[in-house]
Amino acid sequence: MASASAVTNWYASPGMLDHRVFVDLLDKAMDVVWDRGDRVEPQLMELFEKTTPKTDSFKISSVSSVVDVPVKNEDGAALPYTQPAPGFDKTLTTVNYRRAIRATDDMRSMDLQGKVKLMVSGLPKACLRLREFGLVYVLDNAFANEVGADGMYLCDTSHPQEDNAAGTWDNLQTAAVLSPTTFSASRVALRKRTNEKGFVDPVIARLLVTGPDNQEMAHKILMSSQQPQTSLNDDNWNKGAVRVKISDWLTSTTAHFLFGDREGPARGLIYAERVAPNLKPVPYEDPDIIWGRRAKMAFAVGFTTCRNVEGNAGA
Amino acid sequence: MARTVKRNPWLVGGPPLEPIKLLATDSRTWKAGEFGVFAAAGTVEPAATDAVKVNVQFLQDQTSSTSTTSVWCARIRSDHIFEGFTSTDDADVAATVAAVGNDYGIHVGSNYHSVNLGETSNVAVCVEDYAANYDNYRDTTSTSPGRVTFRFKASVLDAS
Repeated sequence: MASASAVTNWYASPGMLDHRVFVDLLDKAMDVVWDRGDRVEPQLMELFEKTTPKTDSFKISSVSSVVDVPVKNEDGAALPYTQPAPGFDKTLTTVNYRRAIRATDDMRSMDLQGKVKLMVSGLPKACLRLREFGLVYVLDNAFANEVGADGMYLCDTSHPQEDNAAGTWDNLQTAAVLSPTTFSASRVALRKRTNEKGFVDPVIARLLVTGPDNQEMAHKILMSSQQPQTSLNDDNWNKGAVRVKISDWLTSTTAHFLFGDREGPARGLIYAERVAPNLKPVPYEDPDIIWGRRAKMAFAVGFTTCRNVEGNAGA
Repeated sequence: MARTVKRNPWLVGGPPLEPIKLLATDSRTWKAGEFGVFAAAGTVEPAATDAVKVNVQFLQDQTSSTSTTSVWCARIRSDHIFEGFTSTDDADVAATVAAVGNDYGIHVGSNYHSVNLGETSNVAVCVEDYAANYDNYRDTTSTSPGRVTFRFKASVLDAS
């Protein structure tokens, strides 16, 4: 393998696009300077409930109409009253994120390839990339570090029910690699989900989210006609059962998440965007610093309680 | 996702660096982004480890210099805010809140300058923030090497 040291770019970052750094754009002998491109595909936004808080603090709670079932009670006897359980609340604090770029007039005028405008155009995608970092952060920390409204991790074995008389519920599978067996176990577990009173409240699996390392196995589980990895020739009951979302930003190479059919805030994952990504010009005292642009967004990500997911750390 | 591939410090805040061509010290070489000092003869050369005098940042690589070569560099001001990686001498080290507001030296490795959290005597910079705070979706307090933003102390820039 060739050594990279001879060709590695050591470039200065003087805080603006400067012709001393981008010398190739000034080279009269250069035939082509091509655009390396910048692909940022929003991947996880569909899992999150987007809200637009007015202030930097966003607090969310829940209510429900779930009450105890009627009991035997004859006319004239004391009525057996019931009431729904209060919800857990969670506060998210939005944070400002900004980045700016600027170029010199010399850089523009000496740019024989006409590429400077392209180079200063990357801020919107940088904002999209940060949003994706934020969203995947929730999944990266699904089994540790970040807790939701009930004080538990996103995927945990003992989430307290809102009505503590109902005990706990569990959305964390025993760590094991993605396979037909573990996928089926998650699917069954979602179906057995209980609500705050402990009553069965099935969640129908809709979406498998995992990293690129599991893409092949996900395809086998969801596309094979017969049950994969066995010699029984049984029908594959998982075929076409859910969609797959490969999250390229997921840090874990083994974790897999099965999301269900809950909608709205019941999905549990929250993206609170106080300021949408936007660009503004940055005026400078020096007239030869041109194309100053700043990007800004303000948001927070987090979760309340997420009965809509069954998680498996994979290993 | 953490950013840990080491490079020389880069400007992230304050006014842009003001490029200037200065005479290089004979036979000294460097890579873009290294910090430099004025030598006794008025030429510029890379700063030494934990130097308490820093004057410029080099804007271009210098693979071989002679006394007749002028090189692009930029004078550093105390309102320039740089971002760079952290070390304790030659070893990578994570950056935590404990570094914020404190003064440290600049370690000079092989064409690689970092904020030396192990040097609190021969100090050149003051740390402003750490990446696990301002870049919280990528770095944690255990990411090594860590990143910090810092400013040079005026006394270091003005040292003769």
